[in-house]
Amino acid sequence: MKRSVLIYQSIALITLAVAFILFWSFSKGTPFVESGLTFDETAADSYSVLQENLYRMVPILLGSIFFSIAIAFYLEEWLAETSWIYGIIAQQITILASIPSLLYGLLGLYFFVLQSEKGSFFTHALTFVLLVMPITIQSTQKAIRGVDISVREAAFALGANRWRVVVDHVFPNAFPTIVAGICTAISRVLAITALIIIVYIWKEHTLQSGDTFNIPSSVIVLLSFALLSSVISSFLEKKTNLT
Amino acid sequence: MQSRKTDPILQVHNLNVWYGKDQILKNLTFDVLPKQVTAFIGPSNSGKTTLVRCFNRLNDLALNFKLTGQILYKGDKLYTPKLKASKISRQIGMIFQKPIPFHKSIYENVAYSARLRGVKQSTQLDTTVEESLRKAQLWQEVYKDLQASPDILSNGQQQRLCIARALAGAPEILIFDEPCEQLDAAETPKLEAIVQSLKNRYTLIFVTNKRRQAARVSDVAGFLYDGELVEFQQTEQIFTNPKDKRTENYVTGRLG
Repeated sequence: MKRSVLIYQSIALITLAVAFILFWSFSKGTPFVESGLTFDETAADSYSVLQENLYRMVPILLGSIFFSIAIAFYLEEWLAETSWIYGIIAQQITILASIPSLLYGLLGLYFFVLQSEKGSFFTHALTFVLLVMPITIQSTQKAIRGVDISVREAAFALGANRWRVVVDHVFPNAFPTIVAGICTAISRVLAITALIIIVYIWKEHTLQSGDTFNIPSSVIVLLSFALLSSVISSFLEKKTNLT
Repeated sequence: MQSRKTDPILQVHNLNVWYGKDQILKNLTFDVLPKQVTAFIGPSNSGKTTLVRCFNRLNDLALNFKLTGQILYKGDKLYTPKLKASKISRQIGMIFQKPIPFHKSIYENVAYSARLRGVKQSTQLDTTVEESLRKAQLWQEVYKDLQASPDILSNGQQQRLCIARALAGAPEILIFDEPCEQLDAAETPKLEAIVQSLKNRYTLIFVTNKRRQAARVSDVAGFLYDGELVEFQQTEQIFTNPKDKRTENYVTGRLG
């Protein structure tokens, strides 16, 4: 009862906020869309290429979300926690998920904007998959672990096999948390897309031919720091667990 | 009271169980005869729950679980790689300490285990649900609205719903693992009455740490202490004339 009231309240608040933004933007002549920037013809051309590239990522995104959920269920339900493979995969996922999305954004920037001629569909897809999959897998894993062990035991005791337990009990119980995780992943993607578009516009207007960008090297430096920090944190975690 | 001729439904030979390095059960040997109530009593951490979880292979889920010795169910080995745990738990039902209704309607909760064993026709499902709820003595309280969520039921009613759900799976053995632990005083006699009424159709195994309850409901009782089966015999014997000093201390309240 109380929970549903809270949900309605938050829906109302969000609707109000969206209505306000829409009203504000229309009354001011859509400042988000027409930011006073105008493209010359060639720039507009390459902008539509960028748009197309981004739209082509939608099926990739949906696919990788679906795949991530499947992976998380496989890891948690079928690959036992004691298995050494589980440990290795879980650690890799943790490291990838703990890298700030900004760094993936820079990666995306490199492939989508700065290397737009060279960047292939594959590299674009890889950027988005890297952005979405680790965080979705991790949140789904947490959702699966959050399902009460007693529910599983009750189902097993009635004679349900592993598959039935997952389909009938674990998935329905974990579903709201899984959706919340997907929302987080999508918001990451949206933020990065916004970043790519903004930097693209900025680049088209300020960058003269002959200017060089050193984003790739700085990305590598930042990525290695992120990797180092997550390795250290997982090492510390293991050490504190032992004592 | 019981026929000596009947074959035991469960035979346990030299059962040892470890969780990692801790030995939980030490060299247990006994037979469970069909259509009577076998109780296991003992202080907490004596291995009662671990023992009954061996019967429906629920321990398979635990990490580092290791078992030696043999359990025979109707003469067949319970622990062989060929036999799936789900097949066993369909024939050996279990009621837990805490009532665990699923997030489905009352009807769907009971129908779930019937569906698991392959019942598909809706008329057959209806009769199974009604029969099971009647056997669990819950029908009178819920028949008006079977589509209601079990959340509206009291703790005791939920536990009876779990009994109905287990019965709908048509098990041969029904294990009660301290089923009254979380129930209020008024519900306990109802549950004991259900146990008595089920006795002539099912084999019942009853785990409890309440001595008097074991004396009331069971025909045969086993006293577990620190993983050992100290004594296993007729309930009357165990409570009035125990052979072992430790059993005597426990049933008289000096131990545990």
